[in-house]
Amino acid sequence: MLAVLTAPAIGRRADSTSLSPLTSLTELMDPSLRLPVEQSLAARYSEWVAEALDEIQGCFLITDPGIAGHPIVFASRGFLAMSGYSLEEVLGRNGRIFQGAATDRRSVMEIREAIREERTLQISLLNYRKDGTPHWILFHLFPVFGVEDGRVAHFVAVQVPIPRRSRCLRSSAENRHEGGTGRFLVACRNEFRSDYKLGCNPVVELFVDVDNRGKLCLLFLAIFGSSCFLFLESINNKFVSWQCYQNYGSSSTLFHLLLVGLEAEESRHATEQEKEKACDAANSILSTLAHYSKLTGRVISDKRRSEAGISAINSSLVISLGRIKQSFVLTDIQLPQMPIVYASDEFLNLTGAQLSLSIRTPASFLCTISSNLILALPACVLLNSPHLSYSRHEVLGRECWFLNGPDTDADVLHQIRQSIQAEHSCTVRLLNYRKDRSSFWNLFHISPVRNASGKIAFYVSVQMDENAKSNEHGLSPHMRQLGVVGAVKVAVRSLSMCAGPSRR
Amino acid sequence: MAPVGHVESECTLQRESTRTERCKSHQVPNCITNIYHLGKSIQDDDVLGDLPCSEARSHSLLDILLLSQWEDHALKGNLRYDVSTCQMKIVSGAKKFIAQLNENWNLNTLMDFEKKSFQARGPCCFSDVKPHREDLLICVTFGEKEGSELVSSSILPKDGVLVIANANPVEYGHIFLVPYDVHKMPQLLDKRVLGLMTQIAAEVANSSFHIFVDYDGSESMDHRGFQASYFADPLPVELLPSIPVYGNLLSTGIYIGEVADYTLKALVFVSKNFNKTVQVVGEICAYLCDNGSAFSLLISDCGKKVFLFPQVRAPFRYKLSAWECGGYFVYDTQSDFNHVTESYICSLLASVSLDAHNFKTLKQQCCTAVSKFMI
Repeated sequence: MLAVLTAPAIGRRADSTSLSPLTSLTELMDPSLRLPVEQSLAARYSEWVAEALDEIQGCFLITDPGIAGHPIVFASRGFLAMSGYSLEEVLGRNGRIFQGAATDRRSVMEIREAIREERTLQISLLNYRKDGTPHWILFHLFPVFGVEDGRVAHFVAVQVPIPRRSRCLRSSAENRHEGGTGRFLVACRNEFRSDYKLGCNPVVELFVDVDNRGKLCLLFLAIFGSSCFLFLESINNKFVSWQCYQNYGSSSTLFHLLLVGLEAEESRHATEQEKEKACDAANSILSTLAHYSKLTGRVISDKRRSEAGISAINSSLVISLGRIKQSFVLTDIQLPQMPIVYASDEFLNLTGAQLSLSIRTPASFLCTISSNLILALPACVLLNSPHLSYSRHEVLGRECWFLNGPDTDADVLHQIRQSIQAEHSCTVRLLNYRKDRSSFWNLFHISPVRNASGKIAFYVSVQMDENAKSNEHGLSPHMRQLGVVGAVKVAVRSLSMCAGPSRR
Repeated sequence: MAPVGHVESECTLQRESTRTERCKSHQVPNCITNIYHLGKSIQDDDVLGDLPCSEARSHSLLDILLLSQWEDHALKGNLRYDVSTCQMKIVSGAKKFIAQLNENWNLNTLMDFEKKSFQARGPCCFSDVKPHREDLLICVTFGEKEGSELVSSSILPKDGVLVIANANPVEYGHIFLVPYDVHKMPQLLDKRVLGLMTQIAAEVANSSFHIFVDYDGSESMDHRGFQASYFADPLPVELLPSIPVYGNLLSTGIYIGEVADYTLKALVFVSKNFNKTVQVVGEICAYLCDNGSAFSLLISDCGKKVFLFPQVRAPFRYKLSAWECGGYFVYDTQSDFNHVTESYICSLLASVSLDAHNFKTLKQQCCTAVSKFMI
């Protein structure tokens, strides 16, 4: 059974975040950030540190979490050579520009978490060079703390390339160990055969659970003289869909195309030598930074001196927060870029495109693919691209101001910032922007939330679209917002949350 | 919400004598507030449902209402302090008692409220409500319709429960639940009031929400209303196992157990049908009241569990409030907070506990009470 949809716009492309770096390099660094970025290292380590860092072999980046967007403030010569970028193209940008379609989202999230929790991480990662070619690296991230204030001054990311150790050629018939991949290809072949018999021009949507093991990496698209094109669209970590437009060309051509175009590779593991190399580079960088930081007096170290006691979002809190069916986010204000550490589903819906009607298929809907039966698909409606709604990992870790835009009133933002400084709550009305850049008036309420130690752990902000408001069940919208605040306050006060209280 | 009213000073003693004259007309207290009408379905319904307070369910309307009214009240600066700034900790030991450092808290504040509160000697009237107008959040009453309903800005009905914010909270959302009736004398612990409180707990449907009441056994006591609060974590007593005393949920529908391994001898009543619980607990409370015994009640788990903490009443002995019986202690000095130990708390609990003989009598009384309702 096929799911035949009336075609959404042909030529619709996946979101730039999944197709970078081929598409997104036209943006330059935000001019307002230029000065802070350029000064970032010099301010703490003096003017001479750049030269000293250039002497160090290896590929690494230094980023400054204290500047909005967590931009790169230094890139080593080795890194630029490896990645193919020039220094101007990299300075002021965020590290995610090196990620792409086949970069494992889980790894990305682990990196985000490590940044949020301000700890060291070593992980294999698939990155992309400027020319779009992917390559595996061992990514070694560590924070550098200011000794005086205990805050993270910079993050250092060392990259050690992991070369391919054996060729992974595949053909559909032979390769079974990749599980879903092999099956998918078989299914595809049958798919198009029967399709061809119908003699029509359907749009076919194939849903395959690629599971933990199959990661399909689109190396290139070879077009053999028929107007077919194929693109990759990721709905979530597990479901990958292809949309194939088939002309009256030969299905066998397309089949051929698929075999050539797809290569699955799960991950690559670094050897001990590579890990050592990463650690050595990290140590040299750290000692260089430590040495030069003494020149300015703003000394750094790799260990945090003070007990900051950051409240992590643990799973019991997530469960409690999940009961609150309103749009809200929790922000961690202890980190300077004030990242979002939790966002409710309603927030993701509110800030998505207005017309988005993507109905996500439940995880239980998996297709079993045998060699004859292709797909068992209930109709899955995707009127607009599902990526027009923010997904959770696009929001987590992002600074809390990302909904603001060109016409957002600066005075109102100032008022919010002042309330945060004063540790008060505040209610304002401001213009915010959804992912599709449409704007809406947001009835916004923000309030500090304390944990069991009595100290502020987060700020909760509750959003409400002015147009959507109504007196539901006799409760005014403002009261509903306050209800959210109350529920969050109760949940966060749980003792299971707090890292800090003394146990005597 | 109640409009801001002029708060009268305490002491209604002199008014008591003129009370009967003024209340003859049985006038409804002239107060405007939001009224929450409990739906009939929850009043008549026998079964609360198989699921415990499900974590997946969203917050109920009454829950959101209480939280929002409390938060709004706090934002307006009507509370004496922000209780969420008070540090909490788990006292090291197996029981995991919880201690809070609250330098603004003292026991006297509770007594002040009682002085301002209703005298249990006559039907309610306006002068009784007036002192509380500033702190009045909402009123809950029995409704006429199937489902629950919130009606904003109406005058108080002839009977119900006033929800009044405690300006000296022990935890977030600490409120007084004061039942009143213009036509009748309020009985503190009769089954009707108990039933109403249990229904409120069920309607809030939030496992953090606990309702308590303390009864000190003396005849001359002030009418001490029920209190409720949100505790983010279960109270220590809720985590303890129990030894069966009577019944089990499957066959008899109600289970009575003795809290195991707790130095304050306590009973727990569990049932999915809160009418049953109310009947039995009501009987036991009446028995204890008749005997002049002091006790505390804790309604938890959305109304499915009721803990009974019978206490020894002695003239000058420190009597524990229900949350203390449950294992949650508030200290107003840093040194007390720092030095509290589990063994100290255990001995404190033991000092107010019934002895084994009296407790056994109580258990037997429970079984008698239950068997009256088991047909």
